[in-house]
Amino acid sequence: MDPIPDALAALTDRGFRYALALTGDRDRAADALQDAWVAMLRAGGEVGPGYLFAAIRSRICDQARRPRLVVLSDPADLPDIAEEPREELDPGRHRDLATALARLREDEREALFLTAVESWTVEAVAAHQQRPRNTVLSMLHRARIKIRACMASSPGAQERQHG
Amino acid sequence: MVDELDQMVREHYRAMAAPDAVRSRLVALAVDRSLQRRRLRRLAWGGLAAACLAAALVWWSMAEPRWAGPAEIASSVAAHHRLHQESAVVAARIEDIAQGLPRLDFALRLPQRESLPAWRIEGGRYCSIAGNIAAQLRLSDMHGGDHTLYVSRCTGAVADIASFGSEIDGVAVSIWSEGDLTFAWATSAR
Repeated sequence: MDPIPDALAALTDRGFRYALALTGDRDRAADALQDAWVAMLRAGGEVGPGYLFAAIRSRICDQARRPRLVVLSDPADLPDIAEEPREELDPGRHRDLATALARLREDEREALFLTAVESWTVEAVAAHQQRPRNTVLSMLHRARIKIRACMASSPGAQERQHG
Repeated sequence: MVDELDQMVREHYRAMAAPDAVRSRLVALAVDRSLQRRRLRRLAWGGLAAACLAAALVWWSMAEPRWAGPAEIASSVAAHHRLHQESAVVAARIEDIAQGLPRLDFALRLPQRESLPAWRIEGGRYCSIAGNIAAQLRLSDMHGGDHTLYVSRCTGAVADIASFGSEIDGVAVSIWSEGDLTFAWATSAR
């Protein structure tokens, strides 16, 4: 296997996950990734997560500023960001976590993604989001509380507890 | 607790991947762009190398030429004399020869040197001495001797030769200057 296409493929996956963390929607994530990827190549600089993530973020923020149709729906019907998982995870907990993540605010989900998945420091996230470090810390704290509460109250969790 | 939750989030997201079609397209795009840039870079380096070569050639052609020394000029004169090349203008008077060689950048005249044998002009043609345009006059003396007289402007390599004499492969050569002209005389030794 050629190492360069492998590294590029890994980068596309990282970009896609990040876009998914921001949007919670596979199609929008794929669109944002493609736009950002083309912009990154056109810029002619280093092909890496730094530029790619910033480009994805700016595209998704631009989209968010445009008026769009908002469909309110039950959390259980929210876009399932867990669809087509690659590995076999506990499907019940996976679904609960997906629902909990979908309920977070976009910036909370982004901060949690960057620290937990991409192992960014809080300072790096603060710089990326252009927020004070303490605000990011509070956001992360709030996000974790929300996820735990959501997962604890989910029917699946209660079944698992009783089972 | 935080670690456990983060681990779950990590596993959750790492189970996701970009759709295969999107991934393949983007990888191909990046590889294409990289090949294109490499090609352009190679082209740019090639252009730079060509420009350097052209600049070196221009510099070399404009640089001060390396003048030939009197011995080299004498060798060239002797070699020309031995060739016995046909005259472009056949005339016995220097004025007629000058008229037949209008591209000369000087007024053609005969030398004043007294030590030369008595001779008559048989004809003339263009030639060059050390890069200077010159007249090559074919002469003969009353004893059937065969001589060649070269006349050019006294510039460039020949300007440094006040007087020089040498015998090269049976040809006696003399080079000297008179005013604004340089003369070279070649005689086959008997």
